[in-house]
This record gives sequence, structure tokens and C-alpha cells, in this order.
Amino acid sequence: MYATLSIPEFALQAALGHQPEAWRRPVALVDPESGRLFAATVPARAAGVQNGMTPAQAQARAPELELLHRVPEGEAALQAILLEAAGSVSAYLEATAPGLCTLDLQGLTLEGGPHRWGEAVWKRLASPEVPLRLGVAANPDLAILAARVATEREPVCVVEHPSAFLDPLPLEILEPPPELIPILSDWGIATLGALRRLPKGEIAARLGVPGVRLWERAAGASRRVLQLVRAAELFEERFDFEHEPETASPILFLLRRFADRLVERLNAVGLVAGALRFSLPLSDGTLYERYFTIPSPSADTDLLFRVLETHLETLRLDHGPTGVRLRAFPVKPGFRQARFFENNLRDPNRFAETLARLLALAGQGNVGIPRRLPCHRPDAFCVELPRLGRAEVVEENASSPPLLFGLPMRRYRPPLPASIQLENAAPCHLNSPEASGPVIGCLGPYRLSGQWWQEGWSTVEWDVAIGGPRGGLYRLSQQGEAWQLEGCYEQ
Amino acid sequence: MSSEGYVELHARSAFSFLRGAAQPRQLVERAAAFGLPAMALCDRDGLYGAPRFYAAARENGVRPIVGAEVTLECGSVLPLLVANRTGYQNLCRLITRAKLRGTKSHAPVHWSDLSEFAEGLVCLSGDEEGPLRRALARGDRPAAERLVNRLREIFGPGSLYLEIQRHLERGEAATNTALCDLATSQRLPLLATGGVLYATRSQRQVLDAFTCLRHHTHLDAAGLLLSPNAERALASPRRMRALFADLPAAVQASVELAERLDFSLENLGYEFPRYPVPSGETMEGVLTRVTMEGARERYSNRLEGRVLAQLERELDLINRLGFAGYFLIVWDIANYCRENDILMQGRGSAANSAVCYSLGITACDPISNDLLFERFLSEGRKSWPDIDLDLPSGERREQVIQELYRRYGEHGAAMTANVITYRGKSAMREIGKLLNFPPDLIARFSSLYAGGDFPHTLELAEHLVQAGLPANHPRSPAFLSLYQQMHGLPRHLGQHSGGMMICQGSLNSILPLERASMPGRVVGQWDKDDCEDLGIVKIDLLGLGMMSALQESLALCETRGRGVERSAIPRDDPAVFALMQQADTVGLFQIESRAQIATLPRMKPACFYDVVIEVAIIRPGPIQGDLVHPYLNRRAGREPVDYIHPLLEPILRRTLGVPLFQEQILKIAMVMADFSGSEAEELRRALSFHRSHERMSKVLVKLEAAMQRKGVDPVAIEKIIRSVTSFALYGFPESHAISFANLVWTSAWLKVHRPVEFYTALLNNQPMGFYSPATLLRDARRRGLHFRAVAIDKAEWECTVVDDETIQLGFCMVSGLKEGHLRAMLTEREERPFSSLHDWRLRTSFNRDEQRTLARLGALNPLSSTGPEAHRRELLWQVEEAIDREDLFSWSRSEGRLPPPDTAPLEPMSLPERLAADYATCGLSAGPHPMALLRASLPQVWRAVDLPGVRDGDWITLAGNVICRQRPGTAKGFVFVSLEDETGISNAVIPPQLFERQRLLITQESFLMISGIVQNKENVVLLRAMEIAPLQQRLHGSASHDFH
Repeated sequence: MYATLSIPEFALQAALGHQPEAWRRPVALVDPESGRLFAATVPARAAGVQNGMTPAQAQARAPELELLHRVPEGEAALQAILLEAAGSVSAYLEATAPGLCTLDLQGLTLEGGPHRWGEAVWKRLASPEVPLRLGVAANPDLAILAARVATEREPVCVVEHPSAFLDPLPLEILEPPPELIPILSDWGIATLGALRRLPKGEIAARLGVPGVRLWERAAGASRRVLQLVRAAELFEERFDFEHEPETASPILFLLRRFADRLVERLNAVGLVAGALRFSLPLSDGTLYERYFTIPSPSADTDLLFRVLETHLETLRLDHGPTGVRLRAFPVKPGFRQARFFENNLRDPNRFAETLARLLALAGQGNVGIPRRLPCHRPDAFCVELPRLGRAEVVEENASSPPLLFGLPMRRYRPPLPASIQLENAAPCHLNSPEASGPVIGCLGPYRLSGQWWQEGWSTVEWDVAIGGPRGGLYRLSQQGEAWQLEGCYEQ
Repeated sequence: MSSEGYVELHARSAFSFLRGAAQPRQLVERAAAFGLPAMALCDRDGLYGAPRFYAAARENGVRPIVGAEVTLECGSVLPLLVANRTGYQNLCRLITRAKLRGTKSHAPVHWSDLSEFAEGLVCLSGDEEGPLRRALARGDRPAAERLVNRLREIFGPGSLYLEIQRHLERGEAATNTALCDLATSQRLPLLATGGVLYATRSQRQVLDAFTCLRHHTHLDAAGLLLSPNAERALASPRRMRALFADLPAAVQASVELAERLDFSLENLGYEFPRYPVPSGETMEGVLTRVTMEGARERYSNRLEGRVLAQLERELDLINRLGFAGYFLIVWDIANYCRENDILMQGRGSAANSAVCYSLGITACDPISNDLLFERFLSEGRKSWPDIDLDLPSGERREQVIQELYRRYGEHGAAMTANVITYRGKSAMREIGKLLNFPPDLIARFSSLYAGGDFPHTLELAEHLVQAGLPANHPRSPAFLSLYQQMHGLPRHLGQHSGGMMICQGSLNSILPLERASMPGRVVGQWDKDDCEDLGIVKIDLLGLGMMSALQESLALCETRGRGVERSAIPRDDPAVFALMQQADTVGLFQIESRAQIATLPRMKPACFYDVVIEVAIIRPGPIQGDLVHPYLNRRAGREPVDYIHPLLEPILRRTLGVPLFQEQILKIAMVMADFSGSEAEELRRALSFHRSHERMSKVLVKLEAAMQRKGVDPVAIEKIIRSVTSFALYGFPESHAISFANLVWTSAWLKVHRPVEFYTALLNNQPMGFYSPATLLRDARRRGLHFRAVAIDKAEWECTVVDDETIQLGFCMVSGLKEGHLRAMLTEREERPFSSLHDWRLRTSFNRDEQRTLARLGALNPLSSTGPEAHRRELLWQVEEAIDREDLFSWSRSEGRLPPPDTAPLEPMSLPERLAADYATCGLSAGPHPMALLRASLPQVWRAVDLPGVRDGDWITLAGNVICRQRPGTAKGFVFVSLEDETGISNAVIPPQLFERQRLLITQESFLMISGIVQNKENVVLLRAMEIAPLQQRLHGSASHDFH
């Protein structure tokens, strides 16, 4: 016997999740590639929205229709939950399709018969967040169809008489190969029974192997071996507090224990942690979550704990935590021989820890490698955290700002306010904390502006030579009426 | 010129197509505001904007200088300025050479071309894209020197200038210093230019947008491709002097060079081709002779009195103005058409000429119709008269065009260009992409505003909100600003639908020519108005689908032994008038639209001239001017006829005192203001809808003053001015209306007396007209005709006549079939009929999709082995079976030596399924209308045929296939929807508020149910929509023709 677990309206489930309100509104999902609708809620369908419509056609029928794009991350997470649930029933499982998982029940005792067993399994696995359907049948393809036929009111469907079950089903339930759909439509084949009644040999002569496979599925006669997958083991630890802790100590204590357990489990299967996800459900119902990449994947408890401890040192929350979750993402341990000319970090994890400490002190976006942005805005740059463990190759390409040769300039960050006197629209005297004096020579103005389509900017720059004891070569900028000293040229 | 002055000698306009952001006029107006005495326009690889630049410059008192940037093989760009006429001709030839040699997207000028065409041209070293600045930017001084020497060798020492620009960018000082050094060492003059890419700083946004479009990216990703600042705007002489305070000679050089550039587009040296005449004869003599010969034929040898006097007056004027050759050449084209059995008819103002009528160029007699010759040609006229020829669209018109290419050569004839500009939807799509808006927002906007421009009832900002862009979106202001600035700017160059230029000598020395996208076509770089303004003659060879249909109808009648001469068709046929009075005009020329159909029962045409008025009255001009109702009211006797002034009675009598035609306006001006023929013509030209308001105001002031001087009553003056102004939007010549009415009449007569031939020809010449083939088919059925579905053993490529009541649909109606495969099959069938489906499959080359299409349509049913019991699915089953052409037994079966295949185990298609298959493959069905299938389930819905019986003011519901959506610009936002059911067509008008509320529903659904209040007046029934809903059933119908 085989069983199939399915999540109905899988893509919609992933996009809307458990939001009963959203399911009561007309909502549809748009496939970004085709630009057409491929899933819709019941109210949307009731208003005449059909899969395959363009958004405009659908909104013509349902003006209030909300259009969403599919959420691949949500679908992946939902699929993982499905596989995990299926893994708790049988080790022999196939990830048949998104939202669909087929199990080989050989060796299992279906207590009380397939139907009662199915209901028991469904009760154990289904939840409001993850609505499930279960199909049980003599072969995998039949079980899949049974799961698809199951409804909210009858979430478990057991196929006892395949022909009677299959014949009235619509052909679309088999999801025929796209090239066969127009042919079968031309033939007027709308149900599995109609397809089954066609001679198999004639189908083979006309539609080839894909046609025969489809026919066999329609006849409930397909025989195939499951492509088994191992249910991904979830390396996660969690704890819910009875009372909100007032200090970080209980959390640190728990995290140490979690790290120990996770490392133990990882060691048992010969894996190491490539990343950690640390979550704190908060008393206001929200979730605080951080994701840490382990630069050099490891199963060292101290190391993993240090990452979390460093983060907790500076963590301030507005609401108290009601629990702690820690999940390790396993990877195979990497053995990589350093190349002769490569200057790798001796201990990437230690370096990452140092970066994390710096980040905690300086704040996000203030630690890392500065990179110039490909635009005309002066000093436009971003700070990127180094990707540890790989050699960095920095290439100057066409999109990089042009290199201008000349004296190097030391920028003041932030720029210093300056007071300027003008003569003939050019600076003639500078007064600023860094430099003051008469302008004895100047080049400019250099006008720059950009991003006019959103929060535009505009600046005028001058290069000036300041005489006197506090003199030198400086760059000035003017934005509106305000002048600033941007930097000093090194001579 | 003042030593304080400056002349901008390097500027690009938006006619550089995505490399410039201002209209030539905007550049000129800015230059005039700055007091620039002259300015040069150097568009990229062409003189596309030169005529408009020239016209605007003359208006604004700026001397226009002609130039162009040419792209070299290395990709660098060299600006060239025209010094004299030789230089201009060389520049045109240089660009033409490159354009005709290269491809549409890549046509560089070769260095050898530069040497050949350098005379009369001044070369600038260029901006950052110029070869010299590129070499200097690389730091390659020796290469720069070599280049300078080469250019000096080509253009001569006095015709090469090193161009220096300052855009306040870091790094430019180094290049400019190198340029100055080079100028000093090579003893070449420095020339300060602005490298202008837009007129004002604000247009930098458009340039950035165009840059993105050129690089297929959006603003967020464009980065350094965008301009660093807005310093490429046109600068004042004062600013240029300040910018180049250290190089005053470079600025002064611009003034001095401009003085040397002594060429104007005013005198291009264009000559219309001379008509070859026998030795000893003149063109004037030949024209007189052939005109008189023709006139004797036209007027049945009664050349006396008025006719002779008119001909002599016209010939005298034509000969004095030097247009004899022009008339002879058009006459020659007309002869070519006649000799090659191509239906031809002159349209427009040429029909006002008795000479044109005598030469067989036009079909209506201007003398008996009392048409004003001055509308066509008048004393003192400088520009060429306009003779437009209507030809059957398609192959026959192409034959005439190719004949002209053959006669005058690739460099002697060209189509005029058509400048495609950014308009509503196209601008929105591009700007949406530039601003990185999500595709579904752009798609939704396009669906909401499918018609392109969208004024009427909503502001653009509100349109954006409806499309899903929040009003406070940070990019909304940028969108609106870009939209306003980009709207109307040139997007790309197309070719005009029929305007053709020909020239004595080589046309490529008059304007640059280039290849059109269409094979075998050469196109000039100017559009028809530019050509007209510069005195270049164009002959419009316009394709009319109806001409093609009429020619085919007449030929079919001839073949079937009931031929009729078009000229012999009676103009007083009561059956034809009855047809028009009942508005049974679907398929007819010009009077088939919804608006015409709504007017015909009120107009009740009773003579040919009524048809002329009917053609002219339903047009934007008269509607805008509120002239329809006064005319109809006067005709129905509901309001008195008012001729404005007693002197105008003879002029306005035929239109009951309402001026409808341009000729009437001309005559009014001549009678009431003593305008000469040419002054009246000037008034007419100023009133043309695309001319400037300023020009129109001037001429109206002149008219008013002249009438006041003559002592015309002020009330009459006011009425006359109001009538004249209403023509500003769209004037319509009476002669043109008569020409079109001729076609209307012929088509109506054929519909009444030769319906089977007429409908067959209509179907064979689709797409054309207002309605889809499905609607035409249903209209034909209502007239008692029958249609046979496409069948493999009977149908030809085109639809054919079976008998007086039956039409066999042809394969041309089926979509998804290759014509080549079909033609090969027809040849094969002619050789030997197909004995079975197997035989057919073996002997034809249709692919599987084509076989399925034919089987789905039922076209293969005759090949079934089951005989009359055959159904489409049987054939659909059989065509899926693999067939092996190499297999000997396959051929045996083809020859009937093997048993036929077993019967298909499939159910026959139901009627709705057959209908769906018909519409999917043919767009029409020989079966029932889809609405007939629903009728039983729609008891509350009225049929179109029953509407005349509904009382005015009743509330009813209509339903049907939407065959037309119209939102005329003159209808103040009202939308007209035509619904077709199994009994006919009904019309509904949707108020603007309801349309805006349900815009998507109305524009997207192909079957609608509309409820509202009936307006039933004067036999015209219209439903004023109050509620609209989709017909939820999955129906297949014909596509709608939309104009909204």
C-alpha cells in the first residue's frame, strides 16, 4: 500500500499561510514568468477568476482581487515541514512534487484498516497552519490522486475500487504533459474514464510513451518505484519559559545546552554546522530572529556557543522572550588544502567572531570592506562584510567609476562644515575647523547631480589652495547654501 | 556679428533618436531667447530634424545651419557642418551611401567616403565620442596627431576645427589642455561648442531615460551610463564667454565659422522629373493635347462653353506655374495602372481639377459638381499641388511603387518617412520600465488604457493610481515629469503608408535616403509635411482595402457573366438608397461605422450628394464644431435654414447653410473678404489641424479685418469666424468627399445587386473596415447568403463564389497554416484529387499542427473513410497516427490497396465544441452565433432584431459578443460598445463614470450583458448603459475592433 500526503493549494498556502482573513478575500497568485494567474482563493474563483487569466482579465471579473507573487522561500519551508511530517510515518518516502509526498507503507501495520489508520495519521499530523490531505491506495499514482481528491470535510481518501474511483475524475487531475493537453482536448477527453476507454495500443501509436504513461495512470495500472528521499533531520532545539527571564543568564545557559546537544547529534551523523538560526519568541507575539553563518563550518561546541554569546552581549529587546529556539544547518565537513599563493585566514571563525564584536559595537553597515558604488555621486560607497574562506577578487569593470589620476585625498567623514567667502562666484576665503585662510588658487566648479527620479541629490565641488600657516590643498563642496570641507589632498 | 556673440555649432535634437532630448523647435526657441544669431543642428547619422529646425529657426529669427554627426567604422563620431550647397549635397550623399550599404542598426561611414564627399563640408573634431578626444583620453598623443593630419588632408586646412567643450566635470581639464596643445602645435583653430543634448537643464531627465532605453536597462541599474550633471543644455553667449574666459578666441571662432556656413534649406535645388516628350514638342503642349483628348472622351465630345473655358483656365495656370511635367507624370502613373488592370482613383483636392478629371486621374467631374479649382491650385502658389492616388491595397499597390523605383532608380525615388513619436501607452510602458516598476503594474496600465492616449475623463496621475501605483509613491513625480517631457518626442523612423518622392536627377542629393525595414523599399529621412514645407513633391499612393475589394468584386462579376462597368453603375438606384436609409451598411466603405449607422436613418440619403454629405459630416471637425445637429435639424425642417449672409446662399445652399467643406470656407473668404485664391488657400493651410495656433490666429485676424473693411455685418462676421474656426480641427474637401462617395456608392450597389461577389471579395481582402470577418459573414447571412465551411476537396486559397447565394470559405481565413504548404497542396489536388486522408498526408507537406488545425475545423471531413457520417474527431484521431513516407506499404494504402484505418473511438464534437473550434482556427464560424446557444438561458435579454419595437425610455438588457469599443475624442469620455447576437448588432453608450468604474470589465470581457434605458429616436436605437456584467459562460466569439 502507498499513502500520499498533500497540502492543498500549496503555493497559496505558502503565500498566505495561516491567515483565515486572507483566505476569505479574493486573492490570486501570479506566475512571474508567464504573467498569468495560477492559483486563486475560493472567493476569487467564485467571482469568475480562473487560472490562466491575465491579471487584467481577472481584475475585470473581480475588481477587489489582490494579486500576489509566489513565495519560493515559503514554499521551501512548507515542503520541509511536509517531508518532516511524512518522515514521522514512514522512512520510505518520495518528495513527489511541491506540496506532495508519497510513502511506501510496506512493513507497516495499518491498524484498523487503511481508513482508520489514515484518519489516525491525519489527526496526528494536520494542524491549522498546515492543512493536510491523505490518500491511501494500492500504487503510488493512485494514492496521489486519492490525496488530490480528498477534501476539507473528508481529508482522508482510501481507494478500494480503482475503476469506480478513477473514471469520473477530470483529466486535469493527472496534470498531463503540456504537449498532450490540446490533443486530448481536441479528442474531447475530459475524464480519466474517457481516456481509459481508448485502446492502449492506439494511444501508444499516437501519443507515444508519455501517452501510454498517462493512460496507465488513468487506468490505475501504473507501476513505478518511488524515488526515495531521506527526510531531512531537523537539528533544532527549543524551550518555552514559564516566566519571562529577567536576565540573559537563563538564555545563555539554555543555549550552551542546546549547542552541546546539537553538536552531539551532528557528530553522530558526521556533519558539522554551517549556520545557526537563533530565535526568541517575544511576549508581544513577535519573533526575534538572527542567522549566523559559520565561516569555517564546525562541530565545536565552544565555537558555536561563542557566536551566540557574542551576539547576546549587546542584544537589547523591547519585550521579554517567552522561549528560545536554536537550529543548526548541517553541512559536510570541508577539507581544503591551502594553495601555495593563497593567503587564507588561519582561523576564519575567530575572525568572524571579531567582526561580530565590531559589528555589535559599530553597528550594521559600519564594519567590512568599503566598495565604491557605480554612480557619479562623490564618495558613494557601501560596506560589505568579507566573504570568509574564499579569496576575494576585485575587478575594475566598466561600471566602476573612472579612475582619475592626481593627488590622493584624505576624506573627512563626515565632511566638516565650512564658511566660505566668494569673489566672482568663486571661493576667496575659507574658514573651517581643519583649515582656514585665503584661497590662493582654485579649480572648479565641478557640478554633480543624480538620482533625480527619487530623492535626487546635487552638489558643486571646488578644489582650493589655502595660503597661510593652516593652508594646503582642499576639496570643498556646496549643497544648497551650505559649504563643507570634503577632504584634504596629500602633497 | 557681435564680438560678444556666440553661435552653437554642435547640438543634437531628439531626432538623433535616443541621443538627444529636445525637439528642434525647443532648441531654436531657447537659442532665440539667448539671442544667438545662428545655430547648427547636428543629429546623429542623418538630417531627420533639419526641416523642423529650419522652419522653427526662420520663425524665431535664428539662422539655421545644417550639419550631422556621422558614425565612423571605429565607432567614433565626427560632426560635419555644411558650408555651401555642394557640401549639403555631399553630406546627403555621404549619409545615403552609408545607410544603403549598411544595415538598419549599423551603417558606418568609411574613411574613403569622407574623402569622396568632403567638398563643402567643415569638420569638427567632436565631443567625447569623437575620434580625437578618444585618442587623447587614451593618452595616445601620436594617434591624435595622425588623426588630425588625416582629417586636414581630407577636409583641407581651413575646414577642420578642434572642438573644445566644458561641462564642469572632473577630468575634462586634462583632455582640454591636451587639445589646446595639439591646436597650438598643429596650428589649427580651437572651436568652443556646447555639445548640446537638450534645450534646458530639466530635459536631462529625458536624456538619462533615453540612455537607459538605448542600453536596455533601467535607471537604478544604469549607474555611470547616466549623465553626471545637467550641463549639456544650450548655453547663452554670456555663459559660454564666461566658461571659456581663458580661450576667448575659441568662442569667437564659432561666430566666424558660422559666417562662413552659407547654406539654407530654402533652396535645395529640387526639381520634379521632366516628362519625356517627342522632339519638337514641349511638356505644356503635350499636356494640353492629352487633356483635350481625354476631355473629349469624358465630356462626350461636348467641349464647349463652361467646360472648355475651365480647361483652358486650368491649363493656362498649370503651364504658367511650371507644373505641366508633374501632371504628365501622374497621368503616366494612372495610365500604368489602367494598362495593368489596377483600379485607381485620385482623391483629395485633385478632384477639383477638370484637367485631372480629363486625364483620367480622378473620377468625379468638378464642373458638374461645381467644385472650386482654387482649392487645388491657385495663382501665386509656391508649393506643388497635391495629387493623391487611391490604389487597391496589397500587391497591386506594391506593383505601382516598385514600378516607380524601377523608373527612377534607388537614388531617384523614395518613400517619405513617418516619424513615430512617444504617445500614451508606448511612453507609459517605456517610462514604467525605466523607473523599474513591476511588470504587472505596467501590464495593468496597458490593459486599462489600451487605446494609447488617455485624456477624456481622468488625469494621468489618477490613471496611475488606478493601475496600482500609490499616489504618494516616491517615483510618481518623476513618472509624471518624464511622461510630459517625452510625450511627442520622436521614437523611431517608419515609412509613410504611401507618400513617394521622385526627383529629376538624384534624390539623394536633396535629402539622405535609407533602407526601410520592408525589403525593396528606400525611405527618405523626412516626413510628408517636412517634404511639403521644403517644396519636395510627393505623390501619395495610398492603399485602400475597399479599392481592392471593389476591383475583385467587379472581376468576379465579370467572370460569372454578370459584369458591370463601374462608371455605368446608376446613381439613382432606389434599392441602394433604401439600404442606406435602413443603415444596413455593414461592409460598405466609410458609412459602416457606428456613428454613420446612427446618422443614416436621420439623414435618409435620397440622392448622390446626400452620400457626399454623409461621408463628410461624421468626422471630428463637424462633430467638434457642433455642426451635425444643425444640418440634420435643418434637413428635417426642425430649424430654419440660415445662410449667414445673402451673398453666401449660392455657396452654402447645398449644405443648408452649414459650411461643411473646405471649398465652402475658401469661397466664403473669397466672397466675404475678397481674398484671392492663394490667400484663401493660405487660410485653408493655416486651418489644417497640425499647423500652429499662432499661424491660424494670424490668418483669422486677417479674415476678420478684411470682412470689416468690406462692411460685413458684425453678427455675420462672428458667425463666419466661428464656422471657419471649427475647421481648425479637421477640414474636409468636398472633392475628396465626392471621390469617397463614389466608392461608397459602388460598394453599396454591389452589396445590393451583386452580394455574393461583394462579400466574397470583402472576406478575401481582410483585414479592412470596421468589422471582423465574423460580423461580415453574419451580415451576409442576414441578406440570404450561405457559407460553406472550409473543406479540403473544395476550398481554394481565397473564398470563392459557388452560386448566386453561396460562398465557399477559403483557406486564407484559417490561421496557423503556411501559405506555401497550402498552395503546394492545391497544385497537388489539381493534378489528382486526394483519395483518402492517408493519401492526403502522404502527398502534402503540412506539419502535425497544421493537420490538427484542419481536422479541428472539419476541413478534412471529406477525406474520411466513413463518408457523410464523418466527424471532426475521427480525423483528429487519424492525423495523430504516425506516418512513414519511406514505408512502401504507406504508399500502397494511399493507392487504396490496403484496408482503411479503423473508426475512431471518439465521440463527435458537440455544437458548442464545433463553434469553439471554428472561432479558434478561423475567427468565424459557418455555424450558429454563440449567442444562439445561450438564448434559452437568457429570457430577460432582448435580441438586436427586436430593438426597434422597444419604447423610448424603457429599461432593457442586451447581451452579446463585443465587436467594437469606441471612445471618440469628441465624445467627452462616453464609450460606445457594439454587441452582436444571432440576430444583428445593437449599440450601447456607456457614461464616463460607469466606464471608469468598470473599465477593466468593459475592455477585457468579450461577451457582455448591458442593462439600461433605451433611446429610440428617428429609427435609431441606442441603449444608455446603467449596469454592466460579464456573461460568465465560456464563450468563443470574434475579436473586437477597439478604438479607445
